[in-house]
Amino acid sequence: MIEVKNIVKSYGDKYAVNDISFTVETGEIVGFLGPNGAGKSTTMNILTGYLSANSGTALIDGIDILENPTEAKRLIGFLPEQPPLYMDMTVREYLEFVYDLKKCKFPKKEHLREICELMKIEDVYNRMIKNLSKGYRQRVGFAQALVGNPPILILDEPTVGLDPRQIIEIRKLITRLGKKHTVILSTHILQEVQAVCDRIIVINKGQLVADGNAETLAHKEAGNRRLVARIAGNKAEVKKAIRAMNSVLSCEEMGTKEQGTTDYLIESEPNVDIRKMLFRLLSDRGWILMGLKSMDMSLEDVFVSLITNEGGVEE
Amino acid sequence: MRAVWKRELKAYLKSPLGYVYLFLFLFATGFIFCTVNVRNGISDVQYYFQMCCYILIVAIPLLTMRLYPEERKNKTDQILITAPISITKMVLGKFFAAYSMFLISLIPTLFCVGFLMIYGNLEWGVVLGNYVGFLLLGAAYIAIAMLMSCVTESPIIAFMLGLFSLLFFALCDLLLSITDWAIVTKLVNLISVSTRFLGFSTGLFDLSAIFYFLSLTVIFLFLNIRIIDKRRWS
Repeated sequence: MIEVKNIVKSYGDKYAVNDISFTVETGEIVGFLGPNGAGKSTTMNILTGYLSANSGTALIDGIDILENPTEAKRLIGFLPEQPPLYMDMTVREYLEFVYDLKKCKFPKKEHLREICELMKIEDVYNRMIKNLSKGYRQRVGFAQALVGNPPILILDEPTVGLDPRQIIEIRKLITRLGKKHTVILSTHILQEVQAVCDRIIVINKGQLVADGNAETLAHKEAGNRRLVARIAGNKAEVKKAIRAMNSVLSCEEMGTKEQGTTDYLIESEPNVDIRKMLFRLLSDRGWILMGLKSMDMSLEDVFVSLITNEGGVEE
Repeated sequence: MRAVWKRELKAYLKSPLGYVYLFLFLFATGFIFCTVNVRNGISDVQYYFQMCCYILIVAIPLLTMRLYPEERKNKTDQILITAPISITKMVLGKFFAAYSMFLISLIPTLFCVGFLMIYGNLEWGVVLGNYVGFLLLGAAYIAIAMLMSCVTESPIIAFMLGLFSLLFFALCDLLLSITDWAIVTKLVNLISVSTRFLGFSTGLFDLSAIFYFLSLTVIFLFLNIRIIDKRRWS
């Protein structure tokens, strides 16, 4: 549905987007994840035709956004970072304007009413946009993207400015929309991508640093495995014995959380499960294993490691 | 294009700016009409329209000053540029909205002219010529001032730039009195608005003048479109 090839966008000698390529299939919900200023918005602006890339191509359903912008734009509903609202219009006037602007063919009244119901903005339908709260404005902006029922939705930080309950509602809505639409959304909130996205594209410093679902990303970045073991036994000897095991890279004391036991952080080589060996070792020596917990990398750790890694390479 | 036109026209009629423009134009033209025509008992529309041309220099930038700066400030240009319409249509929509306001402000001048027709003796040709000239001049002025509004993010600067550029086009003939360089004379003759308008005001339909005003409008609208298109690349 969306095909991006080697897109580069620079301002002077500063690269906002540097050689990004990816494809999005029909019906996917893809999350752009990255710190502020990573190039998420720029990439979205290029996809929607607001900005032009210096080089590279963006195909929307096979249509080049530069060669045939009008046709390509017809397929996209776009919610920019700052919702593009005319403050001097009422919600109704605004949505009718967007409807006319997009030259929609549906019955106007019903189509707009459906969208308002979906976004829960019927109660402010006849109010001036400048008098609305930030949450309502964001939802009116979202509604605007839905006008004309475009097959692709590009949402730049769709939940910014909403309260926690609204955030949950919008996430549910995006999941629902994802059944009929192809969705790309950007965010710097990890829980958000975890909650709604099928796939995650991590962007940092204008470059694509990872592409995949949460699990594959975690595996890819996880590297060494880490275990936390709570063991009752002589500290020094336990540590020495564990360190002597095959595949174990390090073993550090983490202090005492339960009387008579000590917690140890054990790091082992990737792809080796040392739990059985550890259990046998401890029982042979008469030490008691009180607890064992695998410290899998959370998406948060993955994110941080991806961003810091890339930063290191750049410099 | 219709959607943009409709929205901009509504914005004019809902914001104070549209009424400030109408008030300024009507007050100034009415003042001239009263002092020149009514008080002195002169039924000459030529002078009346010439003064109207000068008023446009101030009035037109008022009309165009918020067309682009406000969009850029509120980021609403994003919805226009990412909508499935071409930039040309967007610019034309804005142009025709401003032009519609200009046309609305011309309605009261009909009363003045009608008044002169009843109480004085007017030649139809002269009146028609003045109106045709005025309609063409308005289009060109709006296109020029729109370009100035397009290059800045501040409505005040847009107004000032519009004012100065219109002043330049309207008064460049004055340069001829201080210099006689061939190149300056040539340039002034090429762009001078007032010499072209003079023909219309005497009831003369000069095809080259019509072509001049139309091409001025088209050139400036084209530059306008190019600048917006170019901005996406910078």
